[in-house]
Amino acid sequence: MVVKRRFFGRNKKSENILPQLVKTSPPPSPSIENSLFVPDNDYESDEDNVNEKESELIVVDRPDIKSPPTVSNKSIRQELFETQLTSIIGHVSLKHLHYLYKKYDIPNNQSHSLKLAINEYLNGISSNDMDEFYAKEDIKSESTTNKSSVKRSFNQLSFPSQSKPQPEIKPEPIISTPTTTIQEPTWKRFIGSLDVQAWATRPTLRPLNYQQSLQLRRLVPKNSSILNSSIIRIFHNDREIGRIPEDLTRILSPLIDFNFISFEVIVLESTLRRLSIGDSFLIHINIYVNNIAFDYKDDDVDVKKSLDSISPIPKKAKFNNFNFSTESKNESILRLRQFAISKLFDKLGIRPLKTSPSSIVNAESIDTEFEDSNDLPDSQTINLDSDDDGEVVEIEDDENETTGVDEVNLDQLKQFYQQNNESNLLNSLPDTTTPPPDNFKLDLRPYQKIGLSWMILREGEPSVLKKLSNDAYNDDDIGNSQDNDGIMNPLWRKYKWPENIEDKSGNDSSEQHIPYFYANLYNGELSLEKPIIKTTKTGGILADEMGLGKTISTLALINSIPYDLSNEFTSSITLSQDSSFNVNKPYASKTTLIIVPMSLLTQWKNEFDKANNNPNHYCQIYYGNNNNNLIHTLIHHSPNKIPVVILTTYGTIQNEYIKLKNTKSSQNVYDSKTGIYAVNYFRIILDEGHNIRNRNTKTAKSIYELYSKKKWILTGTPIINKLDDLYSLIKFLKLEPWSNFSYWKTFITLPFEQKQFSQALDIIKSILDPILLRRTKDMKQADGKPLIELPEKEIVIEQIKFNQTELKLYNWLKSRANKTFKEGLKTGQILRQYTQILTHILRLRQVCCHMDLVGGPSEMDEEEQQQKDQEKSSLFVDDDDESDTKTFLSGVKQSQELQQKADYFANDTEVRETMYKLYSKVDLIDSECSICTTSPISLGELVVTPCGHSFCVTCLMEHIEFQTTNPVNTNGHDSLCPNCRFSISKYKLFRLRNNKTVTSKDIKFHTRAQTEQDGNDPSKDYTFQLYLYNPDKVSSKIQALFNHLKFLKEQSPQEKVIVFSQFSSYLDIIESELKLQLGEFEFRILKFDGRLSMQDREKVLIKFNEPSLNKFTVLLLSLKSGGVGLNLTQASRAYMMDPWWSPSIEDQAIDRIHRIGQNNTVKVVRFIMENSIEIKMLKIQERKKQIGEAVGVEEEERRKRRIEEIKILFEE
Amino acid sequence: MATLPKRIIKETERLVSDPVPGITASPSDDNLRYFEVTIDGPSLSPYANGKFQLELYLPDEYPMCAPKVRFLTKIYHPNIDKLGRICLDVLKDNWSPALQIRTILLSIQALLGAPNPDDPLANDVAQEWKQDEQKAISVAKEWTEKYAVSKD
Repeated sequence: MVVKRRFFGRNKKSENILPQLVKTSPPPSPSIENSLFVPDNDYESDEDNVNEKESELIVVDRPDIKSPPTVSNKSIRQELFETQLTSIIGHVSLKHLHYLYKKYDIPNNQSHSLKLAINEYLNGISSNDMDEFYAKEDIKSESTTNKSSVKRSFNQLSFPSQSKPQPEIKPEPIISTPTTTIQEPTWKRFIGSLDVQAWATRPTLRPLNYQQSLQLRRLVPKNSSILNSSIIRIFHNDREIGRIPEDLTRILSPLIDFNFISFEVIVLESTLRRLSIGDSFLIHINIYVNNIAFDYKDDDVDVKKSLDSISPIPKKAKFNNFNFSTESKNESILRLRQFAISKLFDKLGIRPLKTSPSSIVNAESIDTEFEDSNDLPDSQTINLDSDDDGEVVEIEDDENETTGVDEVNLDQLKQFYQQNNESNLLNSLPDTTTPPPDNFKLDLRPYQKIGLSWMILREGEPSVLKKLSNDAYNDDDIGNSQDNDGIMNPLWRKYKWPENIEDKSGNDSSEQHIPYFYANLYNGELSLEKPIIKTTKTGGILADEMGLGKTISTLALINSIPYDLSNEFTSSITLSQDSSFNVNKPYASKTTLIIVPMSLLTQWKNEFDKANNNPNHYCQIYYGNNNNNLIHTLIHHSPNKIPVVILTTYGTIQNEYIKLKNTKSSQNVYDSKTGIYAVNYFRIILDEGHNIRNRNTKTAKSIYELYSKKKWILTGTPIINKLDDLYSLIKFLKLEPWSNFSYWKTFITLPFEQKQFSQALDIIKSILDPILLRRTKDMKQADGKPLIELPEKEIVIEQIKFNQTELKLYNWLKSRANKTFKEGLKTGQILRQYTQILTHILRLRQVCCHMDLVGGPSEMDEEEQQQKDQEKSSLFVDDDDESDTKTFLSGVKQSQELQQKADYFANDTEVRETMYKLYSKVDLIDSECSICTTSPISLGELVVTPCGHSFCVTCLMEHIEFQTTNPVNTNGHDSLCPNCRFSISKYKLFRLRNNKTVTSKDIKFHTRAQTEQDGNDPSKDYTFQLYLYNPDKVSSKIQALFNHLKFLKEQSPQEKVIVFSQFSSYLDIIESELKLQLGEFEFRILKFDGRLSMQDREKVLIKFNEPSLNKFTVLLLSLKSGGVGLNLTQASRAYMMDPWWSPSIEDQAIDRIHRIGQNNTVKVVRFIMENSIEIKMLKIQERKKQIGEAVGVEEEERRKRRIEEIKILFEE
Repeated sequence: MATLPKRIIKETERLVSDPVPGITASPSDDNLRYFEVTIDGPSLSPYANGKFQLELYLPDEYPMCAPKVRFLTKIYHPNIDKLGRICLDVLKDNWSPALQIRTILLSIQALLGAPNPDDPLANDVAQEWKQDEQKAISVAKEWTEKYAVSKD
């Protein structure tokens, strides 16, 4: 015997491990189910005995649950056989079942075969036996069973002890049927029926007849409790005759215990003869739900409370010797009920009506939906391998648990925000709500008034709203409709009562006519009424988009309800009832604590003062240093000096929190008698509430410890990147039960991680809908106008002509590029030469910007760079390329010099002589440009002709250009000095630079190397230095930009503008040119690009947003690093120096200034070189706009498009 | 640039606030580049006592090119034709951006004081001026009386 048993031995270790495994792995399996609901206590102890006896035995195998044979292959006979077998000997592993079936299934003599099978099983099945059998079987027929996997596995927990008889076979310990002790149900309603195969546990005297009525009774063994027994017997006339499958008893017994259901049992098929033990017979069970199941309704989502109130039975003294085991009584009851209800629904084929919890389903869809599942109850047969959809949801508590990787992607966020946008509640709120003018003197926009109405309602003060909105708010209308249309608790599902075809109960109570009921399969609650999420009205989240006036809305709320209205009468009661209140602290019933980021502190103070109209109210800033006074200030203030608002920062709170933690380690923070923690507040408002989004930070923890009656969060971005960001906000708001992290994790984080996005988002939506108000700038008001109208946006393309040098270089580069391109086309190897072509294209684009970019260490755009890296193997870009370019450039100049010698100084000596004479003629202070009448001309602008006259460089260049292109009368000379008609040339002009500010690097950049200083140089006597101006070095584009800037500066000297370019090196050139030409005295030049550190970036932005102090501010912004996120509404003008391939990048850049907060018309100038590659880039942009960006496109397609684009670039 | 260059604004302001004696120039309400100009005939000239109406327009290129000026009042002058067009070098080839409205109008006033029949625009007038200067001057006076002196 023992030898045979060895194969079924287990070791203790595995037994110890298993229960843990079970707890942490929700996915259901028969064995797990067993382990959770172990049938009987004595059962277990037996096993332990066996185990001890056999502990020396070697473990052979762990049970393998998923192994074959599969269900689908089973014949009905086999199923019947197996269910019968398991009903007698408990759980048997599938392999054994299969084996026994194969071996003992003898047609037409089921009871005999069953007996034989049981005998063999109880004697133990050895692997040898099985192998032998299967070997024979193989010869007989093709077996689908995999021999090797059939070996020796079995389920330990249900392992029956053969040394003891089955407990079912001796029902002596039964002491009572619990149902008798419980109140009688007032009504019951049919919910479904089951056809079940039952087995006789005792011989019957005569055969059972069709339609014969039987009873089901719950039996509890003496030494067991109802919680861990699940024995149900079939009775006939108070005589036990049989049993039903165990999996069913496990479901039904708790429900019987709770008196949730009652039964009608009839015999489905007459038996031919009287039954002996083990004989099977078919019964039909009609199941009715008692009203008690509905009466034990929990308080909506507040599952916590339900845990306390759910246990109906324990109140009876009879059952007070519970076996508490590891889980608490309430937990077991909850779990049992949840398990039983969900399994019952599963068995009965009761499916929820398919509704998203938020949408209201119309009648038709309900009906059709139900019809689909309607057939199921009748045809439902008991199946051991039933799936376990409604498995217990494991709830783990885990402060230490790391947050999941539930990064929210952009689309999900969009969807989320979109959903919250759609709330139609807002339309029903009055837009006439005005805070009392005695307190508040600003005007609100209509949507802000709606927001105020909402906030007042969220604080549960409809009467205030009624008053302030001039009775536009009607309690009855809105209040009720709100409740009726409330959002169904997402944990609940709606069901339709099934029709009882054979209903004989004749119960005609009104409940019988309600077509639907609701069930929460997460905890097994049932309800006849729609479970609406009721939230306590103590605040919420105002998540209006930036710029819509969250601050002012909040101040309006504070001024509308400055004090706790109920305080005078019920403060003590309220305090003791409200769990979020610390009773031991004084209550600052007239104070709102506003916590803001440091940078916004003064802004809030100013806003408060601007809005406040009540001389008795004031706002105090709390820095944490006046600890002792605060409590005095807040509680014992005089009636005409009420601190309605205390402003403080997150940092202050956090510091105080840390200090308290350190000094009074034994005490809780909220016991503090001083400082910010010393009082309960009427209201706490978190500005930029996403500061506490990480619940583990000190900031968040310090905020959680503050107590108040009302709580508000202001944030434009409730979710930054994780759904869990939201949790912290919920926790602060103490929104039960979600503020319990277990709930959050179970219902939101986990489903989200398991990619059940819509489920998680649905729940979030139902949580947030009542407490979150979000309006975006695109939302329309009732009259169809947008909430915020952004000012106009004008985008102008300014085409610029190349100057001669630029044109020559451009054409030269273009011909080279064309050559490469055509070669590529001819050989069909355009892809191999892709890199080279891209380089050519880049060169062309650079010439359009500034010639110095060509061949310089200019950054390529990333994609090109990548491309280059990828194709490095096939790279054959000639290394001479750059030097070629330079050679060409100098060649261009030389040829020009030869052609137009008269326009140039003959030699350096002439340059120097002329220049030195001019020093005395320059009068910076009294200089006036006779062309534009500017006086004095700024140093960087000034240009001196050889005849000694000073002009603005742009004016004079324009003049020379005009005269050259319109040669009216120049006597052989191109241009004349406007003042003295002396012949001038643009190559013979001198410019000035400040001796102090200009670095030698800048000088070299602008002078030709020959004009080095010598002893005669009088510049040391002057504050400035003259140098020969080289107009060819100047980029036409930069010149055009400067013309714009100068012109703009004349009109509004304090304007702030942004100059975008994708080339950082171009920004460098523009910067130094700006310094040289426009001067730093009137122009403030800032630069922001990818090379800056985060701190420097911030500095630049702060500087940019500072008042400009009579300076014209130019921000040079790299398209890539500054294109996103920044808010630069201080500027209303932008200049795009060069086009980018993708139009959306440029649009995004423009959106930096064209966004909420922008009050002026936005003007954007895009500089494009005439007849250049830039024009073609515009075409490609256009094309991209039409066919869409290549975001979701395959690499292959992407390349194809690129080639097409290149073709566009090269077509003439 | 649709907006007015600063120079034009400056010039206009100065013309209004600090007018040249004998010359008025005021911009039109609907086009600030268009000026209504009156020039008093210089005393000791045949045009004395006359108030001559002119129109002046600043082209977009101004100050790179000269303003366009024309007499509206009929005038008998060898350098001004029947259409009121003026033959003056600074309005043509000798324009320099350093010149201004003010200087141009002064030049025109000076032209009234010193007709130059050797560089005529109205050839018939120049002819008569050369043949019989006295008669020409009296005709000029007559025309001035007739067209340029206000009757009230």
